[in-house]
Amino acid sequence: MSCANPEARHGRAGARPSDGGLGAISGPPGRAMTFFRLDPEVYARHKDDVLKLSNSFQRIDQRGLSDREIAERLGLDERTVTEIRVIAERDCYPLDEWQRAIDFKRKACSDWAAAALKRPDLREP
Amino acid sequence: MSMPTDFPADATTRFKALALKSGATLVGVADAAAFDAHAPAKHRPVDLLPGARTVVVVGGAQPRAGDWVASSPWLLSTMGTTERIQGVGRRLAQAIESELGYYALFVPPGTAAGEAPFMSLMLAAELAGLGTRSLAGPILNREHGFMYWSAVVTTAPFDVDGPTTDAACPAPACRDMWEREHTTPCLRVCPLDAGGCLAGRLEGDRAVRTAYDAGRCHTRVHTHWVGGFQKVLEETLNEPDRARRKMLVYGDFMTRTLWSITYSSTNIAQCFECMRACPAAHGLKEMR
Repeated sequence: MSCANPEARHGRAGARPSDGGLGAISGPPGRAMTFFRLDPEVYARHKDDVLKLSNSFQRIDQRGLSDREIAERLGLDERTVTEIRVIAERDCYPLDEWQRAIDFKRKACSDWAAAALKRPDLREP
Repeated sequence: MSMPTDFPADATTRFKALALKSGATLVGVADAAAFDAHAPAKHRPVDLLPGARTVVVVGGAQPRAGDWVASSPWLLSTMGTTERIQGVGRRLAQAIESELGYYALFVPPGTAAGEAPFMSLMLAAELAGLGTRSLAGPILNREHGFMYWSAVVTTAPFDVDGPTTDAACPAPACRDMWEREHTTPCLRVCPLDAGGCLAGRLEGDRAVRTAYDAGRCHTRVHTHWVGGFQKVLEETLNEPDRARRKMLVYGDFMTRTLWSITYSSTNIAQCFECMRACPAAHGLKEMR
């Protein structure tokens, strides 16, 4: 099997990888991009505040703030706040809560069917 | 932006009729500017479509009465019909552009980042006069109860419907229950102070929600969805024993989750218990 050589030039090829390009038809050589990763320490420091200010825990007559508003409030940039919020939304409960969700729904649903249809036998033990 | 003078006088009536003919149970029009008082920047109609004047909202595709009394919670979660009302929204957007020549943006039903939507469809339904917020959260229509929503943001200057004051929640049965037991069906089935999501009270004819744990609600609404997948994936990566890893990856939770994710939009909502117990959520028609 042969692999393509991205440094080879054919026709309208873009900049070589060694010049900062993609090695294919593309724009001019540019800055190398790096994947955005949140620093775990930054996450740990701000996750409770971000969750509290966001829509994740709602209070009456007090709307949750957008990521931009939270960023302004906490002195962070919006991208960082978005990343903290998205991770914290998933992180706020352990996996066991997912099992509790299953048990809750199974019981609530069978209780309702038993009551609505007057069929006590439908109730799960 | 100045208002166009050549906008057909019958356009609002005509497009509402098209929505109903296309499968919507309800249709209303919200003023795009009305969102400013409620939604943060980047989540308003003008943030999605600069120059937006109105938001056309359609509701429908609600679960059938038989779905509500099914004895398995997995039935409603695998029989979701939200995509049917999304199809109506898409059709309206296309018709507004092709027949009237105004920009029309179908509001994406997914999320912009994490659990935050591009624009709140519930707020849109409220502002279009199609329903009011319930103690449990979802917007309820007085006649039809719980529904799925879709919205189109447009530069077309349709006639606007104002929000309704005719609240479906609390239902008469809930007011009676509050008098007797100081709780309501939704609060009893999912109480925040006993491991659930909801806290609130009735003040006369008004339902007042005092707290809502969206994080826990996500574990129930999205049990077998992206969050569940991430949780088991994390647990699997942290499990050093190969045989135990297999139990997690091949087990019922992960398998059901992958089925749900791959069926996409028909499996997004997976908890209906507050709405199942809600006397106002199932419409007014009696079933036998």
